[in-house]
Amino acid sequence: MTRFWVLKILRTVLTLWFVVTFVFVVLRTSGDPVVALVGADATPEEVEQFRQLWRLDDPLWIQYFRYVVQMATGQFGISYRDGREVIDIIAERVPWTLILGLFSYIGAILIGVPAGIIAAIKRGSTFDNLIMATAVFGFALPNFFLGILMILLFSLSLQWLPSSGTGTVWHLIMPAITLATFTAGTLARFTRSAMLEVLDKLYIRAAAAKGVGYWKRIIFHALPNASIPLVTIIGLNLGELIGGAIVVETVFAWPGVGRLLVTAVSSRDLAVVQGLVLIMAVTMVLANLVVDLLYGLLDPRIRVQN
Amino acid sequence: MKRISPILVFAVVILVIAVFVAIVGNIFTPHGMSQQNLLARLKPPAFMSGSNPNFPLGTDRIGRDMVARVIAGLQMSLSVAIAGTIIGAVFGSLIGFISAHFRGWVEEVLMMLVDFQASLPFILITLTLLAFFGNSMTLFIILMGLFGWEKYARLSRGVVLSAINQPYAKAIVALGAGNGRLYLKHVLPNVASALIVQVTLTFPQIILLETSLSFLGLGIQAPQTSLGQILGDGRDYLSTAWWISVWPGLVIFLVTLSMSIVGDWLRDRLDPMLRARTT
Amino acid sequence: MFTRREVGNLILGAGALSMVGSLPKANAADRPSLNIAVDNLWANMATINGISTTSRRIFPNFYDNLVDRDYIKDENGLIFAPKLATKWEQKGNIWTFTLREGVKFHDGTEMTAEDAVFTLSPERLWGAKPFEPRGKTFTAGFKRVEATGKYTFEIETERPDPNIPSKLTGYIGFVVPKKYYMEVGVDAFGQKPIGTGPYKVTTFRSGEIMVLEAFDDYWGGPPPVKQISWKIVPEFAARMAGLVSKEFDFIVNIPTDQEAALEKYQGVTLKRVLADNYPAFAFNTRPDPEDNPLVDANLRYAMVQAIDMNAIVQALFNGTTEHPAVPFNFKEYGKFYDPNLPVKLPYDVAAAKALVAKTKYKGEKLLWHITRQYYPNYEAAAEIMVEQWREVGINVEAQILDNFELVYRRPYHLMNMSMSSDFIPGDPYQPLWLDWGPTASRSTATWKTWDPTPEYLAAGKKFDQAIEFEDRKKAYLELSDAWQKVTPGYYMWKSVYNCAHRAGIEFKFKPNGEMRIYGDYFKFV
Repeated sequence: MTRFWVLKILRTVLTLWFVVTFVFVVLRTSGDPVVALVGADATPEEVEQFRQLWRLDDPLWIQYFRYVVQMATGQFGISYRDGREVIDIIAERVPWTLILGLFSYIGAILIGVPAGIIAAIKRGSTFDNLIMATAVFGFALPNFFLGILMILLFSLSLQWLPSSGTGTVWHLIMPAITLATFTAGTLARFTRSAMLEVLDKLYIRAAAAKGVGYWKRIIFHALPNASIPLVTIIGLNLGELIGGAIVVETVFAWPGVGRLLVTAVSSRDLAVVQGLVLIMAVTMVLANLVVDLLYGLLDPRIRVQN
Repeated sequence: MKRISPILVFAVVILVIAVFVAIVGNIFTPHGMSQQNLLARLKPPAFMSGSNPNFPLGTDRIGRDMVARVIAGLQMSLSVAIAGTIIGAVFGSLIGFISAHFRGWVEEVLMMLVDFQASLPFILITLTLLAFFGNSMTLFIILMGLFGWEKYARLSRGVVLSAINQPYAKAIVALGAGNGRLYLKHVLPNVASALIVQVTLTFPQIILLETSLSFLGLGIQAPQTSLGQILGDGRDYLSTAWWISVWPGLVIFLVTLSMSIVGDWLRDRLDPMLRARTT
Repeated sequence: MFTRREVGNLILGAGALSMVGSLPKANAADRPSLNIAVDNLWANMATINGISTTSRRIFPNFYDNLVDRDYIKDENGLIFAPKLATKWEQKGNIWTFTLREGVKFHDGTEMTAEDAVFTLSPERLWGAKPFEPRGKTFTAGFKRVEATGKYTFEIETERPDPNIPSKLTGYIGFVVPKKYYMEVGVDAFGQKPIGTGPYKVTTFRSGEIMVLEAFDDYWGGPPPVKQISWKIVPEFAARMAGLVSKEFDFIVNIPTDQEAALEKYQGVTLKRVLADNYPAFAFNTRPDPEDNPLVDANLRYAMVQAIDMNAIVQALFNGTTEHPAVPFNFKEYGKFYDPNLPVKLPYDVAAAKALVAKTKYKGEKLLWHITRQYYPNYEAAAEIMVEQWREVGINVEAQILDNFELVYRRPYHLMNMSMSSDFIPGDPYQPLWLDWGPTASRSTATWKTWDPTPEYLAAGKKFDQAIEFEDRKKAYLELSDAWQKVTPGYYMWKSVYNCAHRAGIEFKFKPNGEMRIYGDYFKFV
């Protein structure tokens, strides 16, 4: 038991170190950030000034060492772009992404999971086909396209909802729906498979043979068992949600971390990109750790197996 | 066996048409994909007023034929998705095989790589790499190939582990069969069905990933084009020249939809036990 | 026929109108606020380090120039009006400026000659290690800047320079507070800028928003708007929807093809100006890469003759702008402009093919580096030009890159650029000499694309020193010829800036891209 957790945590730490190194290698080997920052007509003096200021002239290994230590202690440095602490810049963006993410994620679960369950129970029916078609629809429509279509419909033509930005609850609706559509689709499809598999299992059939009622079988026997793989997929989907936020926040000018990442990458604000990639990685890794924990609680066999 | 549903037939037909069009290429229109006609900019499709009979699906902002554009985009998107899927599947499964075969620290290290990949949203990795190393076709294909490899690795590792622990596998080894033979003749067929199902899932995801990257300006670059690029380029024109983005959008949608339907069917068909594993 | 309510409104309206004269300029409490959706905000708002189209449109709202170009009384803005400086006079090499008294910076301190001198000082702009090094280009020939009293200062130049007041209408003329600037340093200043303008910056997050608030101690009286929020909305669809649904009062950067559709919405007014700026591209004329076929001038001539730029401009801009047939022969240069100047390299496919045949060029791929979405329609035009070059057997690949760092990374054969023409209003000095001359980044930077020829340099020296119009025009033509002989670049069209606003606003868009939300440029109606 303890060994299982120690190993898990050790691996988490190593994964994070991997991420840190990866980011460092990519950002430092891909070119000179200075010119991008000081602009088109920078003079050599200007470039030199920046280099010294940001200590880009130190040997690479010194930069690396300094950097690992800084990352480990949470010092993400200062943005090249506006000279502010990266941690502050990210911190003011995080709540926005959390609100958007949470809202759309809960929405996606509330829609996707029941839809998947119903589709599985009514397997093969028109209803099943309809739900699955809708799910694939959500999954197959590029989300920036969906977002722009919604803006044109609900803000421009009908003028029901604000087009972009933040301010009121109304501002949240379109980005959240756009973001949730994809996740809900994936969840519905997955839930359906997980349920179908469980429904095929011997113990369900046995329960049926024993005369356990239909709904009782579904609720007490099938659902708890289907929820095990579901927990994993919900954990993994967090990554897709963050990925989706990058696009959705740009479409709706939502001031979250996804939008920040896009601007930071295109202006090569190294410190901010580093900070964001690391924070997103930590979030994902921790989420997966939590999922593992839940998984272990739900299914004791896993602990033993590992 | 259950009867084959009309939806499945529809999906297969769509995919066959898509592949056919991509292979035969541009025989449906006399125009080249980059041939411009500045006097026929933003012409609507044939069924609308003001259209130009030479351009049945209309033209884009510099007067290029949408039929030619969409076909070229389809060719590119399918090629990228196929290349990406093959690279990812081969590379990923190999990693899976290796770690299942060697176990021990090799497995630990490889699985850590898998964890690493899984711990970052993939678009984040591509975004960073493309933006920082500049966009080249090679890098782009490699990145698309990297997409989903960790899923193939996990999957094949799992299947291989359970396959080589089967009594028959042990018996074959006891009878003196070499490792190569064991994997090639006995384990691979077991893994194959799982991999095929995974392919049907990865493939549309790569098309969508390419589309998102095009939106961010990091997808396929002109003069090459892809469905995602045409879609992204046309977005400012949605309210005035919807056909620029709707055609490629429709094709993306149909291909993705069909692939998913076929994938679902394969999954049900090949191995019910795989349902939960392939995600 | 009026309904009763309409009659009531009319009476109220008339009453309000008659009261306008007696009201104080604007009552602080009931002034409206404005939301402006922009495509982008530059990361830095210092006057020189922050030079960009996206900051220029905001600058005059919180900074004031020493000298103003008056576009109200003159369409071309060739009237130089007092702003922070009220008087100026030249004696030989020395210009004396008298400042307006009682002007306050946003932090409450008074603007004096000390601040104006610091603004133009070597330590800030043109010394050995200046705070804003790009200032050097704009202060060429400066020898001494010194205060001569609390409200007077002098600028001494190496040679008599009649254009000093015009130069102060540009970026270097925005006065910054010395004390605050020195206290916080140039970088922090760029994030929390302070000026003397009618609005003060209260919030600035470069990836997101800039908020300005009315500065009621403004020397010209309280401004008409309480708060202006400049919000980044990257997607055009969202900007358009926001304007139509009245979330935004202004939006900027409307794709040319969407202008007509936007104008159809009720209450939307589109404003378009021809800017003093030309999207262009540079030929890499140097043997770097070593096998660069463009070192042969004939190939460059061929490429110019292969472009049907008039057709491109007509198609992409619907005739709202023009292609200058002869470089530097720009209409805004008044007396310097000559509509009959011979076109040396007109569009001529046959001539282009013949020129290509004269070269050793064998279809090698030429790389054209282009910054993504830098100028409206640039990428579309590039796609068309690549095809037109293909027609004459020249193989160009346009590479759209994220930022200038990538554009500047060799190898490249062509590179995008944009050239302003208004540093000295009404005079071709900037595009012809400042931007290509021996100190220009185009001929000195690591990514330089040409080496000025002796002929160009000699002509340039003459031009630089010529003061009388006749001499100057002659020198200009000679210099322009020397440039065209090399043809190290190509000017595509005069930039068009556009914006749109809701009903109830009267707005004059300035051709340098400034959006002044005060004075004669902006009114609620």
